[in-house]
Amino acid sequence: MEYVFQPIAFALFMLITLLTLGISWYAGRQVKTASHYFVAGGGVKWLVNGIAFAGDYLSAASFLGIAGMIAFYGFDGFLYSIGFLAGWIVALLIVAEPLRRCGKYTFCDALVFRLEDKGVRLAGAVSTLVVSLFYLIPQIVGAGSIVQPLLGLSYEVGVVLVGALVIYITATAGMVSTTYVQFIKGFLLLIAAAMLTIGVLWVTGLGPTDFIASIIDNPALVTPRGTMDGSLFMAPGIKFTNPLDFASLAMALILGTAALPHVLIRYYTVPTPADARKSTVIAIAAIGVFYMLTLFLGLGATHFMTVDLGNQNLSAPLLAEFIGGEIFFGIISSIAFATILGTVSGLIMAAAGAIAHDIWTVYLGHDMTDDETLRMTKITAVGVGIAAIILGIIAKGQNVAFLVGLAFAIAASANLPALISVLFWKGTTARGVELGIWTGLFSSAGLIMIGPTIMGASAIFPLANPGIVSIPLSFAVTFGVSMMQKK
Amino acid sequence: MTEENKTDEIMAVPEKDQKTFKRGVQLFVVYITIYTLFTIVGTVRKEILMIRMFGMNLGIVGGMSIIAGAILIAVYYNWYAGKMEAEQ
Repeated sequence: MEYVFQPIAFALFMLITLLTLGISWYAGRQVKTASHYFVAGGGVKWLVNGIAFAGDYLSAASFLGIAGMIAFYGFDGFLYSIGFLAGWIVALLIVAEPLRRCGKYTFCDALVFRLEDKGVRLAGAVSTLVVSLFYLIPQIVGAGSIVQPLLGLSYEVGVVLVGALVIYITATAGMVSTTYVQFIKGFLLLIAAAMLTIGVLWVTGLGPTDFIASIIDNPALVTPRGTMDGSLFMAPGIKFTNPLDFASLAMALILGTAALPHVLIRYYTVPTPADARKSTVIAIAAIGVFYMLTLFLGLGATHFMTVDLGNQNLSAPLLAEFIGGEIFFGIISSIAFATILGTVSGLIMAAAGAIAHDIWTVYLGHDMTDDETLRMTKITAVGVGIAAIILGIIAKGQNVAFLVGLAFAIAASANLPALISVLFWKGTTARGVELGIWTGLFSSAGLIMIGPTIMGASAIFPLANPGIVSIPLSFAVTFGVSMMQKK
Repeated sequence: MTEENKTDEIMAVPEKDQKTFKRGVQLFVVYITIYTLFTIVGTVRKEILMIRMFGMNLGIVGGMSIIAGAILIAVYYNWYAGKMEAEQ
């Protein structure tokens, strides 16, 4: 699809982007210590943190990717909405409060709180880095996709643009700025999704239930993948032709949320464990409402066929253009762009923290002052940002929700077994955790490499998502090695 | 401090907080059981999710219920934990 420059949309885009940068600049002036940079001094209010949680989580994958996935694959796309939220129950009921009691800056801090071991620190830091990079790629892909219709620029220029902006935000302001950007963006995203849903129902003249029923009842539903029976489109099996792929994705999504480094780091930005719990509840409510609305965004795009057959990620912005013209398109696209800026900032913070704090300072033993730690982290953030730009250009054309699903599988495989065993099982040993992390990391990443995502029809491993194999394997190694050592 | 003592420190919370955690685990078991059943049905008997219900199908109604259920559990758990904290 060819896109042209749209001046009003561009003006709105500039307004929201400059507002984001202004907040970063203002917040950056308050950063004096490493604690301020990494976790905003641990002084964020739970309500703000809760919406910021939602802002962090409702990334490009949620807004652009899921809407596109539902538009193209019907019910199979909606599975992402269900699983992405279900994961928060694990975070709230199992992980939130115990984690807040034992951490400082990063996921690794929680692991080594009990197991003072350099091997555990290194494994946790590498895992954080890999998960963050896998999560970064879809965000950058989303940014490149948005810039094409919004500014008339090429995908590659969009990727470089968002990369440069995010490097500026993370290298100057840290978690204080990221929190407030995410707070504002979280609200804007909810409003945008609600406006789009109302728009879909208003244009069709149907209520929510009737609209969904009209899709299911249509025996010749026109979808981006051809004409088919609506009842089949709204049942499992369009995307996940191998039933085990459905189960594997569901497992990765519900177990991955509580193991994402950029989500975990936000538990340290509030003063108490009770605040961690309250902010998680706010996040679940906000994210839950949003995911219910994604069904209408995706099906709305199918109903009006506002899709780009070469880029699933543009279904929601193009739906906005159909409903409300250039202005609505500009608003929705700018919010999506701000979403990406905020999420990428949080991810780069987590990755930079893993390198500068866990590997450079603690594992390699470089004794640094607070100022030196800050400088090192900011230099690292620039490096991670450049790596993200390169990877984003390589991953052009992939659905961002699908890519995020892979990041969830890696996080659930490498981080969750370690976290659960450290928090709740006295028999856990350092070697068990270390080997469990490496097993989860290599098995999940390795299965993706030999799976259909990379190898296509000649894949050795048949499933697109490796979770169903790599998550139990990592749990088994963590518990097995620990038990053998205790004997 | 030994490793086991540090585990105790993570879990060393007043009795009422332990009750809260137990309630959280109970809710988690209920939720994960429903989610697992939904996934198994979608994996091996997907035609069940096509059964019509409330004008939609069981897949959509079930999916929406899982999302709404998460919100309800979160609100209830927060209320319960707050009540326990107030009693301390």
